[in-house]
Amino acid sequence: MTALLAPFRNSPPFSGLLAISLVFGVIMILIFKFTSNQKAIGAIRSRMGARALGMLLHLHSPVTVIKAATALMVDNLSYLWRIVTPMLFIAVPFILTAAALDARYGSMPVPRGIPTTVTLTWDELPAREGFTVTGAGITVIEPVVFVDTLRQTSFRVQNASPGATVTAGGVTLPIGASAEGSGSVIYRGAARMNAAERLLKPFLAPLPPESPVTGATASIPEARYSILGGRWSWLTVFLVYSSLSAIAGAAVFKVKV
Amino acid sequence: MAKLKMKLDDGFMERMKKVAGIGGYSSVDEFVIHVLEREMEKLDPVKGESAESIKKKLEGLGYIS
Amino acid sequence: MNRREFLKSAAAASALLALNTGCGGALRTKRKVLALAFDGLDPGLVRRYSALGLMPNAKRLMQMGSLRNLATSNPPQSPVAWSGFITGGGPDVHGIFDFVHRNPENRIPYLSTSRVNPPTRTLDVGNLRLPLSGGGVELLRKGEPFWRSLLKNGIPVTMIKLPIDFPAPQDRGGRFLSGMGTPDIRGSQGSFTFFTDDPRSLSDDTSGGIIVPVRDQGDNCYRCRVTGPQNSLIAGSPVMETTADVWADRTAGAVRIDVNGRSFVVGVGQWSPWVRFSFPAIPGISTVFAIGRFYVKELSPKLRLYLSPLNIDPENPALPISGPDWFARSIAEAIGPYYTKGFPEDTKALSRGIFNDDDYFSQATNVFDERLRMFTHALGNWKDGLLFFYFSSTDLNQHMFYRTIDPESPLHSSVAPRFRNIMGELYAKADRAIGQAMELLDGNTDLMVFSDHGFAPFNRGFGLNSWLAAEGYAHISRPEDRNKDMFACLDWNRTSAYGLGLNSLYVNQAGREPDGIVTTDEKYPFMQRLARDLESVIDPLTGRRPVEKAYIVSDMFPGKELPPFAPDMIVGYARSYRCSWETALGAFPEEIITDNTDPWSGDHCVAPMLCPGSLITSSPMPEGLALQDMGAVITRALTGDS
Repeated sequence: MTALLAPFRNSPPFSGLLAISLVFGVIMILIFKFTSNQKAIGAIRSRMGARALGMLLHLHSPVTVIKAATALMVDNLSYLWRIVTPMLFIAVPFILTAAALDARYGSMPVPRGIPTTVTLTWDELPAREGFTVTGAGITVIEPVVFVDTLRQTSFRVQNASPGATVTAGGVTLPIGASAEGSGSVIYRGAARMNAAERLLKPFLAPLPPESPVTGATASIPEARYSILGGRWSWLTVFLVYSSLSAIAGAAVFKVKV
Repeated sequence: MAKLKMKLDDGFMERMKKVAGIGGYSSVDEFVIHVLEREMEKLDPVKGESAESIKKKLEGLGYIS
Repeated sequence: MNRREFLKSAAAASALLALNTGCGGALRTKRKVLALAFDGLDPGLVRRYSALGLMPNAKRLMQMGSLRNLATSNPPQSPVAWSGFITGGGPDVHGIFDFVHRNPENRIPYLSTSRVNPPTRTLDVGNLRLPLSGGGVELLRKGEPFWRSLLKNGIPVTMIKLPIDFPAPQDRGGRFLSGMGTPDIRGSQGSFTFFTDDPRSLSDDTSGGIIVPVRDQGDNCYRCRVTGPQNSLIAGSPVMETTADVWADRTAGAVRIDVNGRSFVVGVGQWSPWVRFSFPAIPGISTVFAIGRFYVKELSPKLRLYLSPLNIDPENPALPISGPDWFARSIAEAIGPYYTKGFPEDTKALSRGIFNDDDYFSQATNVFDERLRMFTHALGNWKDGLLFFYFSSTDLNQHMFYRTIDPESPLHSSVAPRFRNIMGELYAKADRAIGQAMELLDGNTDLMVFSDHGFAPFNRGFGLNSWLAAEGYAHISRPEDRNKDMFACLDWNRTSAYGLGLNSLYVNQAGREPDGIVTTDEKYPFMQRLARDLESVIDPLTGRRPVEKAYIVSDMFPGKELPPFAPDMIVGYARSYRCSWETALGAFPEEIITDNTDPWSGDHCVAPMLCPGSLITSSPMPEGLALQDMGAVITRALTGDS
């Protein structure tokens, strides 16, 4: 994903998101084409069209309409069955792409001048005495709040540079943007994760199993994108533009959906 | 004068007598009427908006106490 | 050019522009006007602080052009004055006579500037009440705004934080952000919430906000219920609520506040950043968003946590605070969330003792700094036409800190040393904004800095209603209710006049008010007698007259038919005086004239000639201009070359 987004590093975040959405839509429609029985889907769709037309033409005959509607429902089930396989093929890249995009476009970088609270959850809450928090490429604001019940410590950070890290009680975590330019991962926290979880939650920095910290969160603002007077989440942008691209792709590559 | 009959739990009635006494009311009736008047002052639908809610909307002006 | 000729040419420019509208053509003008409005900027104090070197930019600007007193409205209240600026007319034109009007049919007061109308038709589905038609927020100001002819002639107009334009105008080509008059999310002019487990802080006084008792759940966690707006989509319009979990760490001297899955660490004596609250009206379908800022006043031994009035979220506005809709959001995207409420500084929290001067000042500084960031953003985006930008801080901070410069204030001696120069600092800060604006001056740009009124001390409160009762103009039948609002103690059948609002006095007129007793024929001579009596009142403590002049409204607008909500008289107080706190909402305390011991120690609800506004311009202006001329003056400056 990082390589794919490389051309958009110096462009506004929206452009990278838009490009990936458009490419993704075309790829998905091609996957659909090659993993589905296009002939069967075409036949079912023709049949469904005929049934619908039949209903319209025989509105005066309830028996015919009911018969056509029942057949249409059966055709619908048949259609759904036909698209299960391609959808399963699409699901995997969709989930992975969505996770990767969420990590890159779901959050704003740590805002400058506005404190962002970071919370660490511990296996055992460390002693207050001697507990220090330091930042590299980021300003840490004292004090540290200890929440005994939840085994958590919280503190504020601001003015993060890309690649910034915070070291709290000996544990170092990346916070905010992982690198310069749009399209780089923005870490909203950290967690102990296995390989699958790492793929699904790339917005979290991995913590080693032996880390005394079980997880971390940073209250980084959610990113929104302005389109047509509205403010939309990355997911809405992605779904809308990938769908448009898929529809266009279906027409170009003659895919029966 | 109109009369209003109400059925109340015995324990609640006893408690109300006690509270009315502590509050310096001469009777439970007087206490109940006072509480009802106070609530009506706040919620009277006849007045449209209650005096309290009108005041709330205006007082943030700062000019009004 | 004298004032008369100047106004003639200004009026001619406006008239020509209006005529041009009819031809449908756009004017080509290179002229630009930057109108910088500081509410309450007093010309006397501008002169004083300029002479002391605290306002070097204003001094430079007045040397380029001029500094003039700008005649204010009668009464000199901001809604009346700014409505005059917008429409170029008086209250007879724009219909705003006071902050507060009353319905003559029931004498119930209401905010004069806007109102929320419920939907006329709803669809009830179970518990849901879905609006079908009608309803919405209505601007009660009438008259044609001066910018409309500018826009129709293709001259761009941007008005930021303009008072008395909520809901925001949607005039095509213009950009508007509502200012004074914009409510908080609960529909009031500002209602704070104060969470505490300190029983000493709990009281029945609900003025300006609510005190919510909270308790430690046993693990230093306080579950605080935050009240939002009423849910008009549900039958009975229940109030919506959300929760803020406050984790107190007394060793660290800080709390962590968890709201909607986000956390905010805040130390004692510190402000949180803006916190977004969401109130689902219909879960998953309709959500009302609001923003607020927490302030940790105290943590040990007890929690004392202040939450500002919940402002309409500019990124997801629940009400029309800008025109076009995206304008409020675009500003938030550039500078972050900001105060959308018309009166951002919480003067009530200071008046009630929830804040001390330091707490209030820290909030006031946040507000002013935030507005300056908005100003910088506005200047950066301004290309041509008119940019109007409004600062409220000069007004509200003078209200609260006038006691620091007035030795006669009952609170003057108790002012802490660090606040002794606060008024000068306030004017100096305003001056920095003027300096920033002056950087844009070129041969084609006019800079006009002006205010709606000046300022005066408010040391003594005149109980207008109490005086009416003492003089037999009002009859009290229930003395035990004297201190209750809304005339609870009065016998209307024996009352001929009553005061409501800040300068307004009404005749209890037969046929207009229920139980009115003054007939139409009796009314004018009655008012003449009442005016004479008012003007002859002497304050026994000072030997001064509290009322400078009592104005009969029908004399102010001869031949005009005034609306039924208009007052019959406007009481123009003398300097140092204002109507008492109790008078404004119809209470009748025993004492007639009392010391004002509220930190709200400055005011401008006096006779208009006693508190003119300021006009500092880059081009010389004649003497004698009024705020309501400024629309025409701006139009003239913009179209002078056309």
